[in-house]
Amino acid sequence: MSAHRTTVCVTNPEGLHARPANRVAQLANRYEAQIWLVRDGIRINAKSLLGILTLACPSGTELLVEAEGPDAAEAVAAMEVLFASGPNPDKEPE
Amino acid sequence: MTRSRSESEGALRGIPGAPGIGIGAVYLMLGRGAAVPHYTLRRHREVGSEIRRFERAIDRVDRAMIEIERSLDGQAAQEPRLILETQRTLLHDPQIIEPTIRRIEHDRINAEAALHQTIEEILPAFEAIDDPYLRARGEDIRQLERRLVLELSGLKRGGPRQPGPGDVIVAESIDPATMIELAQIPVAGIVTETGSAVSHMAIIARTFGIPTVLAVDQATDQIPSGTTVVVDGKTGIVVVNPGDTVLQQARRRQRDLQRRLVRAQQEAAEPAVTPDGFRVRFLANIDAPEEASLALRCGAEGVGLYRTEVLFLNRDRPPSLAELTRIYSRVVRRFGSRLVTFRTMDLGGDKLPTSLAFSAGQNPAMGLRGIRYSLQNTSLFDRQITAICRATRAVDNSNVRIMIPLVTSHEEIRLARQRIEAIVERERCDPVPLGVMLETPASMLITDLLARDADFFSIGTNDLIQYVLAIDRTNELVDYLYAPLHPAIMRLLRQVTQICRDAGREVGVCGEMAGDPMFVPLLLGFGIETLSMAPTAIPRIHAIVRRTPQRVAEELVQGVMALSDLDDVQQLLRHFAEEHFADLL
Repeated sequence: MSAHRTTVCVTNPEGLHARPANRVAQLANRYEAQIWLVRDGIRINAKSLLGILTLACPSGTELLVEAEGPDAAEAVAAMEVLFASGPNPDKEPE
Repeated sequence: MTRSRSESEGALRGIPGAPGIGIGAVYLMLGRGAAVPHYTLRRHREVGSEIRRFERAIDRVDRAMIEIERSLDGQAAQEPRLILETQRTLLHDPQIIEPTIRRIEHDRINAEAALHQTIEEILPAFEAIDDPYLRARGEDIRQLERRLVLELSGLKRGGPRQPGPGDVIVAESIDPATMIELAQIPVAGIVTETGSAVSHMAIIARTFGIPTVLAVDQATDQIPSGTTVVVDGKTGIVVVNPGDTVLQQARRRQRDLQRRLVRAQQEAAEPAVTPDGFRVRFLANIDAPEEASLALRCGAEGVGLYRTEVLFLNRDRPPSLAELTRIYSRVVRRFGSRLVTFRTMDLGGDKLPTSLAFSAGQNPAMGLRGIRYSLQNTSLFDRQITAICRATRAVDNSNVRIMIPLVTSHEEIRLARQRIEAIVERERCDPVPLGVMLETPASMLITDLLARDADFFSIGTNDLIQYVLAIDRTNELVDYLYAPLHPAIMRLLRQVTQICRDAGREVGVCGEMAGDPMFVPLLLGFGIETLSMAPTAIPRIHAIVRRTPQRVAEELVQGVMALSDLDDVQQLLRHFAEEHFADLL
């Protein structure tokens, strides 16, 4: 078990508002691994919608995704896919 | 409130949450008055059962929300469903649950108190956010706390009975799940002490069409339970203990609105074709994304006029690019592949945000407004165009176009086109059709020249009439001269529709004229195929189109063009209307 990390970008024009943020939290909660989002040194639990909302990320924000745990690699890959779509609030994460 | 005071009529003012008139008896909901219970757990083994009590409350609230989510039907309730989904994620949020359990364990306090302390610790982080939409989500967290505390304390609602269809709910604040339940009853109206136009309360109320007024100061103290109130969700006024006059007036308006809505839903499905096969496209004039579902229900095939300046008014700072993009995306998403026409901000004159205020001059209608203002304040204009491009890109198969107000010269549309094309290219967006709003005499006289840079036209009759006839509509001394049927207007309309046909450009009408039964036969006679109007006006005009043969309307136009006096024109039109659709007048 080792830490996995990647950088993603919020491209959704709305930024990480309630609905796209909810998609991120919902996806994170499917994994056993601990997952964090880091913005400008502030690190929050990606399973917490509250945490994501208080990061207040406008469109264009770069975020570091870190995960640690048995399925950390899969979690990071899934986050990359989700962020590649915006995240699109209308699409259920696959 | 004393008895004598409670019997006299009085008005309270809040902010409009959802339009419509609600009349009913006040049902006061338990809210702020309920203090959060606080006690210490005496024995250590009580800690375990207290944590289980907290977890069971979460489960029960979760099940209730799932139940409500299931009760929502299809496409129409998509927005409330997404709001509920977000609330459910928050309900299970580790940042709420973990600190609350820690407090129960370490401080040996009851679950309600532990939860309350956790929420109090979280809220300042929201208050510090710049984005007004995200800041307003603090309200959602507070509502979640209330819901959980009520569940934990075994208290349900305020009164001895459940709210019913005739009730007007007065509350400090209402969580989304409760809001949906109330809307499904449906209650007659809703009044709250908190909230803003971006509250989930407002969004849900608009979706379900429940007349709602938000942010009425001390509403729960000022309005006694059981009193009759009239809620006007359009103006944001709540009349307590209305007298007969107010009550009768409110009932009449309520009946009118109801009738229109019923008709709208019945007829929305039928095609808008005249008996002789002339197809008319019906579009809606809107101010905000929430009007989308009403517009679609009323039979709109898209948006012919999205008045974007509304977002700039009544605020200290102009909206940020992110805010504009978010709101535009919502509009585009709601209409999917249907047409959305953005009219760039018609700021200026009397319509200015507090922060941008400048001297309007003696005659604001002829001052710095419309495209003139946009070309002098290019950063604001560019911001708006960028947001439109991003919203377009964000939605698959979007069908968006841009329309420029108050154009008087070819240079203006050329400059606007250059700026827009540069932004479209920078944003890697598909080309966006550009149109001109024909509302000045100059633009009507040079439509053929404008057609070199304009892809389509829409006639804004309101301003056009005032400019052509030299009448200030706000001046009551000349108000009576405001005459849409003036031969000068008729000639311009005929001329312009002909020019547009020759140039192969679409021409529509988006002023009040399009929604007026008397004028519609004329517009059909001119050969105008696109009519854009307030959503609620569509059903009636739709019915008129289905009954008026276009060839007969053409003959009517011939007759009207031969007349020189206004009275004669009016008489001819009235006669025509009575002959073809008397029951719709």
